Formats: sequence, structure tokens, C-alpha cells
Amino acid sequence: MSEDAEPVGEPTARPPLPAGVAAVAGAVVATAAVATASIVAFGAAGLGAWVVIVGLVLGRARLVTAGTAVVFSGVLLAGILGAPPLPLLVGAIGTAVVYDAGHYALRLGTQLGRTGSTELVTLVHVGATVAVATGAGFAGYLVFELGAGNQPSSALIALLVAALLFVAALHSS
Amino acid sequence: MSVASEEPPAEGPDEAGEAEGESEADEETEPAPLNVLERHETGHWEIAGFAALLAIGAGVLFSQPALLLVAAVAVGLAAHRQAATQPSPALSMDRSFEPEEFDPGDVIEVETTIRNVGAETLADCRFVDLVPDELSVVEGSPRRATTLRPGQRCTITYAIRVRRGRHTFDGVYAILSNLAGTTEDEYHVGTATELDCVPTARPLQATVLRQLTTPYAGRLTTDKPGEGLEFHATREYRPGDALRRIDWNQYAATGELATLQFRTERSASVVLIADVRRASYVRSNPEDPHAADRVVEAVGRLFVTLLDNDHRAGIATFGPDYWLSPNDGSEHRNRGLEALGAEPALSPAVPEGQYPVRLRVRRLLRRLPEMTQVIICTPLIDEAPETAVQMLESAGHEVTLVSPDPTAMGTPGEIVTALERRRRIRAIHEFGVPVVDWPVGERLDVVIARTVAGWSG
Repeated sequence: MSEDAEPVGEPTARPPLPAGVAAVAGAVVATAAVATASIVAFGAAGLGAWVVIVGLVLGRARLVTAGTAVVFSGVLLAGILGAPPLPLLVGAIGTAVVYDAGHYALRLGTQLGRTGSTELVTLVHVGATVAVATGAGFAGYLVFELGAGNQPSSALIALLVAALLFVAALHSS
Repeated sequence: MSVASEEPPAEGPDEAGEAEGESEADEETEPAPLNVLERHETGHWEIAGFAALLAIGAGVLFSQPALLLVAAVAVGLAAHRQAATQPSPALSMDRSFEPEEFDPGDVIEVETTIRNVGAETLADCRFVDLVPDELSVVEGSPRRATTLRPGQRCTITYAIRVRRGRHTFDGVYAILSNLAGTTEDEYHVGTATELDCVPTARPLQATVLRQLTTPYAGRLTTDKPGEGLEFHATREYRPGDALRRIDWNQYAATGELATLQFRTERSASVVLIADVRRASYVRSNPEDPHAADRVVEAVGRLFVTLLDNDHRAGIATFGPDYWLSPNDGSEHRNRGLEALGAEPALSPAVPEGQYPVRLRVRRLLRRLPEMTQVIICTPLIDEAPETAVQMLESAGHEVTLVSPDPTAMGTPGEIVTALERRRRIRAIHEFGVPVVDWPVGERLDVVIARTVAGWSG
């Protein structure tokens, strides 16, 4: 005694596959990169990856954010325990992809459901994030390496804080 | 039937897609009407600045310069967020149906093409084709997310099962976002497209008419003696009777003059009432059509049958108002069939609001010509049609009921409804009003023939 038409524009909890796969791939990359440096950090990042997967399956944005935070804490932990620059860089980029693709997947899920085709748009969106993150990371890596010997870190700190302030200024204007 | 939306996004950033986009650049470049519905911030990447500060802090506190690289990535993403600009789009939209000829219940393919006719690249567009609620998508998806460069287009292809009536596809709902995904603009793009599905009403073998006729000659055999074809009785000769009507056989046998009488044949004027109130949108099985759909089918078939038999037929409704006064002729026939396909009052969408039958019948009685029969098509699942029968019969209009049976005998609730409906049919029979009870899965022809046979037997 009711309409049996397929719900149109009805939100579904489960996100579309391409973006979900990208998020999980980011989590795996971050976890693997961190694993080369420290077993404790690997544990933290791995736990975060599982939380992200559960969040995606259940369609809960908060779980995805929490999982991303745990993955990020794994990366920070690896850094604190003295991980070399390159694994940290890869870990940071992986974390960025987890956050970006994870939330993007959930939004596409609520807006389009699982059935629409989303490969291209996911590729463009996540691709842009990876490009930006890699570009910024390797620019930092260059400063880090070229600053050889004499206090490279203070130069980089100054640069980063300046950049952050600049970005904040952009926002307020 | 192939559905493009299941393939990788066509017209993507490959050579072929671009060439196609340019070669047809001269057509459909007019921007479609675009209404901004809402803009909202997603809060995406807001966390990046915080992450950067956290990484810098940890790096300084634990004297680990390598952590600053993590901060560099986060700062880059924060900048990505700030640098993102929201596009102001210009889109054109076109929708087509394949095939163009169809009957209710057919599966047809809908193709909605959206083209970026502006100068900006739309990095992230999500489209939802606004399929009418009453239609069901059987293949593919009316939703699509893609990237559109200037001049590029994307096609949303899916298949729907059409139902009778007029269906309005109300443009496309679009969500446009920037590359970083920080802001989402919701738009309504394009104008409505209408899809009319006119049922092809097949005439029935028999009709369910009663004796009330117009004074005009026609094909309904009545009980009144007079001119006609079918023998009725003989009576004694009266001066003035036509010579050809004298019963010469009897004269030869007995020597007395007698006159043959035939059943007069008259044309009837009938108004068919479709009960399409909210209450009629019921069915016992989700695969079955609604009782209201069967009501409209019955009205359509009776309408053409009556016209084929040289009667005058009109259409009225219980529910949203529609009135077609009884008439004949092919123009009238076309008008009636078109109304059954496209008239909003008879559309398959469930009507909003209440329509008290008593008021509708009063208005109907003012409109009904004298000597008009009424056939009410109703599922009979509430008391209202009974009231209508009483009011119409007492006003001198002979009433017949054709009732599609939507009830089932599954749950106790269904059984109660079915029994109540049977009791109602009996009560209406007691007024002397015939009821054609039409179960699901049986042909209307057969049911009517059986009922008519029951009357004469």
C-alpha cells in the first residue's frame, strides 16, 4: 500500500567505492611508511586505519575524522621517536588522503548514493590533494636538505609559521 | 538497453570526448535557467592548520626537525583550502526519451545531457536528474558526479518503467564544489520536461448498461416495444399500423390481424466516474497496479466501448475535479483519451487533500444531463461510494458499479477489509444496483461478460 519507486536522491549511509578505496589506500600507505620507522607508531597508525574503515562502512563522518586523527598521531609518534624525513613525508601525505578521500566518499554517498559513477571526479579531487600535499612536502624537504648543517630547522620553522600566518591572513580578508 | 552511466564517465578528458565537445559546440549552447538553492561550507580541510601547528609544536618540543615536513604538508593543504575559488557556472540541459512511442508498463530510456557552456572548468559537479516520484528507475542511475571543462558535456542515462498519465521531470539538481571541496553550491538547472503516457484503451466485448436511455435511436436494446430488430411481442392490430409490421402468418392461420412489436433500440448517455481519491491508491501486492490505476483503465476501456457502440459517454471523477460532458464523435473520443493520459486529476500521482464525495455528487447532479446513466469505477474500500449510489439513484440516474478488487486474504487486517468490501457490495446490490467485482489478474472483458450472464440468468 505504498510507493515502491526507487528512492531518488535519498541518502545512503554507505559511500561509493572509488573514494572509499582511495581513503583505505591512503591509510595503508601511511601505516606502511610509519612502520619502517617504529613499531609503536605502526600500531597507532594501523589502529587508526581500522577506525577509518569502520567509519566508512557505517557511514559515520566522526569515526572517519577520529580514525584520521589516530593515523596522524601515529605519524607524529614516528617523528618523535626519530623517524627519517622521507617516511614521515609519505606518512603525512597518506594521512591527508585518508582525511580527504574519506570525507569525500561520505559526502558523495549521501548526495549520490552508491550507484552513480564517481571514478573521474574522485580521481580529480584526490589527485589535487595528493599533488598539493606532495608539492608542499617536497618544497619543505628541499629547504630541509639545502639548509645543510647550520640550523636548518629554525629556518624551516620560521618559513612554516610565516606561511601559516599568511594563509590565516588570506582567510580573514 | 545499454546504460552509459555504468561505463567509465564518457566524454572524459580524452581526445575523443574533446573532439565531440567541439564539433557540436554550436548546438545547445544556450545556458539553461539556473537557480541557486543554497550555499554551504563543508568545513573540509579546516583541520589542516591545527595539524600544522601540532606538528611544529611536537617537532620543536622533541627536537625532531623531520616533523616540520609533516607541518609543511599541512600548511600546503591549508593554503589549498584558502586558494580554492567557487565557480560560477553556466550549464545547458537537454533531455530525451527513447523510444518516443510507448505504452504504460514499458521500459524507456531517459538521456539527460548537461553541457558546460561557461568559460570556467567545473572540477566537481554532482548531478541528480529529478525523476518524478511516481516513476521507478529500473536500470542505471539518475545520479552522476563528474568533471566538466568548458564545452564538455556529460550524459546521465537510465531506464524507467513508465506509468499512465503525465509525468514531470523537473530539471536537474546540481551540486557544484571547488577542487578542495570546501564549499558546495546547490543549483536547480533547466526546465521541466513532460512525459505523457496515453494508455491505448482497448474496447471491451460487452458493456454494462442499464435501461435508462436517451430518446435517440441507438444500439441499446430496451424493453420498450416499438421499432427495432429483436422480436418483443405481438398485439392486436390498430388502424394506422404499418403494413410491414402486420403478422401475416397469424392472419393466415386465424384470420385476425395482429401487429408485430420489436424491442426499441436507443442510444444511452453515460457518465463514467473514476474514483481516484487518495483512498483508491491501494494494492495488496507491491507488484500490482494501484486500484486507482485499474479504475482509470476501466474508465478508458468503457469509454471507448460506449463510443464504439454509438452511445454518448462522458468522464467525471471523485477526487481532483475533472469533467467531460457526455458526447460522441471522434473529436470527443480523442479528448477523453488524452485526458486519461495527461489530465492532472487522473494522473498516477497520489492526490493531496480530501475530496468529500457528498459534495462532489451534488456538483455532479447539477452537471448531469437528464436520462444519463452513471458507471462508477471504484475499489469500494470505504463507505463514500455507497452514499454516491444512493444520491444518484434517488435523483433518477441509473447506476452501475465496476469495482477493481484491491483486497487480499493474507493478514487478519486484510481479511477484515475484504469482508467489509463484500458486505458493501451486498448492500449496494440491495438497492438494485449491479456491481461488477473485478479481481486482480482477471481480464475485465471476462468479468463483465460473466456478470452480465449472471443478471440475465
